Amino acid sequence: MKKYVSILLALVLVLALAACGSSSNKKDEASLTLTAGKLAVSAEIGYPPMEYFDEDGSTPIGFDVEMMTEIAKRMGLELELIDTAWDGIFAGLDSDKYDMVMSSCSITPQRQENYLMSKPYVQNAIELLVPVDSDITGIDTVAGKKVAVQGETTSHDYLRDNETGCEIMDYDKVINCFDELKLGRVDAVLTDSVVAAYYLGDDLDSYKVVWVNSDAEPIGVTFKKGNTALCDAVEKVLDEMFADGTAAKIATKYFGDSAGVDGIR
Amino acid sequence: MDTLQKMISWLPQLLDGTRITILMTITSTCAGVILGIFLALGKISRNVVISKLCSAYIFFFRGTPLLMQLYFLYYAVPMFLPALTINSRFLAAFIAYGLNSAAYCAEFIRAAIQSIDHGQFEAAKALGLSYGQTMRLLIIPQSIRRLVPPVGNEFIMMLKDVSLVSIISLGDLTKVTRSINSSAATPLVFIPSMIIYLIITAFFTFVFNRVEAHVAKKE
Repeated sequence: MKKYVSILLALVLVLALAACGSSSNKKDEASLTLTAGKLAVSAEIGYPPMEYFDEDGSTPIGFDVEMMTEIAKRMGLELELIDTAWDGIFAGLDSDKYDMVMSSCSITPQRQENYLMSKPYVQNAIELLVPVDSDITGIDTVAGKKVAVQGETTSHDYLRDNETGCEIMDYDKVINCFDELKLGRVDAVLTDSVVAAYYLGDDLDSYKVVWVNSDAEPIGVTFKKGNTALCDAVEKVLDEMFADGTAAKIATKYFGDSAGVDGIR
Repeated sequence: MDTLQKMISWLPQLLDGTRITILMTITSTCAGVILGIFLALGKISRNVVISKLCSAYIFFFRGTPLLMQLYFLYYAVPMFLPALTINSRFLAAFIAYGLNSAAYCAEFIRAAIQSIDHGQFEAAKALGLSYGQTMRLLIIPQSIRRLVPPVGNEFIMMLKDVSLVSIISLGDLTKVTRSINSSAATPLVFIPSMIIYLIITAFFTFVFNRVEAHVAKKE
């Protein structure tokens, strides 16, 4: 009997914990950011060429990283980059863990509904990558095939929302999708064009892009809903960076050309 | 009530994940115990080569993180040795968990065997039993009673370790929970999920307690 009492108590404990309200960090009223003088930015580092670690394994580099470094510099703030798992990255905004997410976030109506998103700062669309000798010719011929995506990305959403008939394999890190493709365990990878270009750069003879979604998915910065003050300030800095050519320079460094950012603002 | 309805609507998916979690826990713990018996006997063997080999195995699997072993077996090994590519996710996870569990089981099995009074070995020898006979007929049956609690413990640890399989895209209970959490944008799903884990733990704790009582009666 005692045992059942302890089981019951454990259940009560779980429910009690769940019932406890979430405590949120107090925001400094005068400051634009959570901590005065600091810009806390979250990114899932491991998404080349947007945000990834240099070969030393500890220095974050990439297009987003250089863009946010420049934004923080121009705002006179110290950058604090927080490496976060992609799955659940936006929930950290709600609980005030960081000021913004700058991690190749595609602008989608669903995200705009729950969060505040900036205007686009780089062009993007999802692409289907297959081995050169594959019989997959586009998204309409993947029925019965295994398609790898990073979990909870717009690629994942695309496969869930559209009847493609494929088996969806989702991974925590995008590199695992490409590992699986290389090992032949999946038939295709659906991912952002910015990332596909990076991985294809290494293996042009082995893989090809067979389909690009016609709906472009430009990338923007994500803020907590209602945080217009910070969003406006960041937008202003971004506009400056596009006007004086800084954005194009950073784009050229990571993408090889500035096509992704040209004329987007 | 709306909340309750939502939780109920998640149940089929959660139960699907639960099936994988339970299957993986049972199969890999069984594999771990069986392999562990041989490792334990190997480690206490008087043959130095076998003893050192088994010790090295146990040292390796207890000395590196399970997450890394799973990652290594599934992603890294096929890159170096294409012949060892395991395409089934379940099989790959089963092998990784079984090998890992065996190392832990080996240690408590060895402890159980060595806890049997040494005089029994001498008595068996005096009666003319071989080493194999002594182990099979005398020592191992007696150690089993002492093995039930640690096996139960290993089983419950394994139940939680299985949650690591999400890195190879295998849909266990934790992975399903996280997917629902992301797609439904609510952390509420953790509640039914944790309750399911507690129910499984409670059930198997009950089973192991019954087994323990049963073997104690036989003694």
